[in-house]
Amino acid sequence: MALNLDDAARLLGVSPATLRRWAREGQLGVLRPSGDYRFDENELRSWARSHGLRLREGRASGKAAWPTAGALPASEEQPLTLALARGGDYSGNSVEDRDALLHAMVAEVPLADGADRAQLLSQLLEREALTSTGLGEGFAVPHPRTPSTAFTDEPIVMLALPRPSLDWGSLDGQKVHAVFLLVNPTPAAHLKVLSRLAFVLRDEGFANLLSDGTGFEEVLTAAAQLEPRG
Amino acid sequence: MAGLAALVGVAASAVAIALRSGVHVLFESLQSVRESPYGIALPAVGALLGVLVIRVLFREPGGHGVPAVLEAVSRNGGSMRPRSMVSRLLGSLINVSSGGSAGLEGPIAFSAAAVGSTVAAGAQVAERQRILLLACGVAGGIGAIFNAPLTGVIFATEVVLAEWTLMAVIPVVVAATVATSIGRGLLGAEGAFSSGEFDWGAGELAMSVPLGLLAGLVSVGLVGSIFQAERVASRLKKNRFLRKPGVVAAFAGLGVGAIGWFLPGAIGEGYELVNKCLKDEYHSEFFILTAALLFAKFVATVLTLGSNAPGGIFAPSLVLGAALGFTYGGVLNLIPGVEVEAGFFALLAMAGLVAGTMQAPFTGMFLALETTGSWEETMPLMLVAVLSALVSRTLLKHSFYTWELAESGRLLRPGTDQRILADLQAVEMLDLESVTIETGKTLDDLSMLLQETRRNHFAVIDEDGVFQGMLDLSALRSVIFDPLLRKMTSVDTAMDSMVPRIRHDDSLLEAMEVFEEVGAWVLPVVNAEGHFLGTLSKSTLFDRYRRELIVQTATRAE
Repeated sequence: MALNLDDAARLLGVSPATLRRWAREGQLGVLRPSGDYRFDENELRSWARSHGLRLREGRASGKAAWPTAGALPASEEQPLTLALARGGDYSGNSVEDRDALLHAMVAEVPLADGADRAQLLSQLLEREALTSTGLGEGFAVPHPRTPSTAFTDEPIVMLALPRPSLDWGSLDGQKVHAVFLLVNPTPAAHLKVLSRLAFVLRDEGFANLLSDGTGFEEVLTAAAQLEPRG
Repeated sequence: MAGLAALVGVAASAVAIALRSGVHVLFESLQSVRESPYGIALPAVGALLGVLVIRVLFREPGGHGVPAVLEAVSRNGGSMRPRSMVSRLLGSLINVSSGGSAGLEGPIAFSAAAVGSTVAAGAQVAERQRILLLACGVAGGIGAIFNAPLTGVIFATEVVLAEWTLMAVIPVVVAATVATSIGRGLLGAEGAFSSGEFDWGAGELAMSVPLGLLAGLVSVGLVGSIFQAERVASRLKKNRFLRKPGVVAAFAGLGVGAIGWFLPGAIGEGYELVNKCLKDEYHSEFFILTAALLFAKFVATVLTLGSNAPGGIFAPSLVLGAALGFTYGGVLNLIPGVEVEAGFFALLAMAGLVAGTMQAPFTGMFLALETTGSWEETMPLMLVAVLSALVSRTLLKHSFYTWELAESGRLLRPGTDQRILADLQAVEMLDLESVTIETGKTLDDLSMLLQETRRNHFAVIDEDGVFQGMLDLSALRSVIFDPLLRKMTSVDTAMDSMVPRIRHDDSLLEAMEVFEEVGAWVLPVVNAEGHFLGTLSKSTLFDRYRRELIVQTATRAE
């Protein structure tokens, strides 16, 4: 397969300018790029091997690839919406307090096969022990103290709208009526989803949907419309 | 330094003389045994004893001598054990006198190198000087044994030091001169081989081109076969009995003995064969004989060296070269109208084989020149040596000497990337002013720290100082500016706990691999108990690497 200069340079992990210089200096022994520099991929690979160069395959520059989950109203660039779609809403019975809600949500939240739910719960409680995850304005964002692929491969956000609202020890003292359980595979995913969530929650319309106890589908659609892409 | 070099030269000549005389004595005294029916077993016994002396008596690792010297240079800063001065000397003395098809030069180089290293240790010189003195030993030993000071210098610089700076050459020259002078005084001033005058012209010169290529091929064949034999031997050594030191060598020695029964000239050191070829005593019509000797010696050498019986490849290369060249000359004479002196080609091929097996054309050329005094034949010698080395280099990535080391990744030449990275220690480049933060704290606490430092990476540690994970400011961008989210996110949640840790005693080479693997720019360094010591940044590494490179390749006066 023939590679152009940019692709060849990317494969070798060098800049196109370097590759051009190597060609000029005769470093690329047997390769004979002509005119607008075409490289045979196999020859390039064996040249790299014999010169001790490690190839940069699949090292996509920049953005990490987010796993998709079937046909959804959102694109890959909306991690919060995707995560919400995966997590769904809590449909269990109403509970008495924060810990009971967490317990119940952990039982329902869709995790990876073989995930240790008891471990997840204890991590959630550990986190609450540090400082309350009550953001204020009636929102809470419980999450395990350490994100891990042991719980899930993809970001998950499960929404619960407890009625009556629960005491969460929030910073502003208000009781919580919208709980977003965040379960993420990596710190990076967690930070991304969390910041998106914070962004979306600032929208008055969205906040009203939550305090009105609107159905999940509407919330999901609203999130998809609000969340920036990319 | 010159004084030390001279001292090493004296000691090296002593080593060479001791071995040369020892072999003479032992060889003569074993003559009666050799002619008896037990003679077939003699090389086997010699090989067994030779290996036992080295492995059991002196407890030194087996294997070839010069590669061990190269390893000492590249990895141990030229440090060798004092007992190495004697171990291989004795071992090869026994083996070669009994008929083992190997040379004494490699063991002499090894022993003399150990002498140089011991002198260096005694004089407490720095690593660079120690390596030089080791090379002085090699130069002195080779110079004395062959009565060839130039060859000694060239071998030491071409093969052992692999550098040609003036500052390196001067002490080596001193040592070689001193050693050779003493050697001459005690062993006589004759060249190791004698040859007559050769009459040659453009025709012969042209005919030496194919010989150069042929010599290269034979060298490749020899080195390749020896290593194949070594592989076979190591597979055999999986057997409990065969694993015992010397056993495989003994069996191989039986093969050598059998060969020696039919063609005594093919075993042992073999220098009489060389002289006969050079002086045309075989008469070129009898090149069938030399062809047979060539083949026999080839096999015998593969057996001896492939089974790791002590001895070097110098002498066998010379002998095989002489036989090859002589046969070549004899064959040429069959062509109607061609009349050449086979001895001339014997001389050329000697240089060719040495050049090919060691991938050292200058050593090969000068060895042939100095030992035979054939200064008239410089041109064809150069041609054959260079061609052979070229063929060898093309077909074999490494020479006989560097093969083993390169295969196991232990070949590090001074001034190369690997050497510099292996020299640098992680602890030399730690950023000790790294900022840490305890688990349980939030990013809000972190943001307070930000005001006091320009660092972008922070280590999360527990109350005992054990490293937990790294925080990278660039990854925290999305949350760190929001006061609420800052308070909401604990450092535990935001940290990368999977980041590979560098141990403080890891070599920079190993650290560099990890950087490459992970694509990171900053990595944490921990001690054996996991306590955080500091961060290592790729940018500091580059800066230090550059400085180390400048320092190591500088050619200022010592």
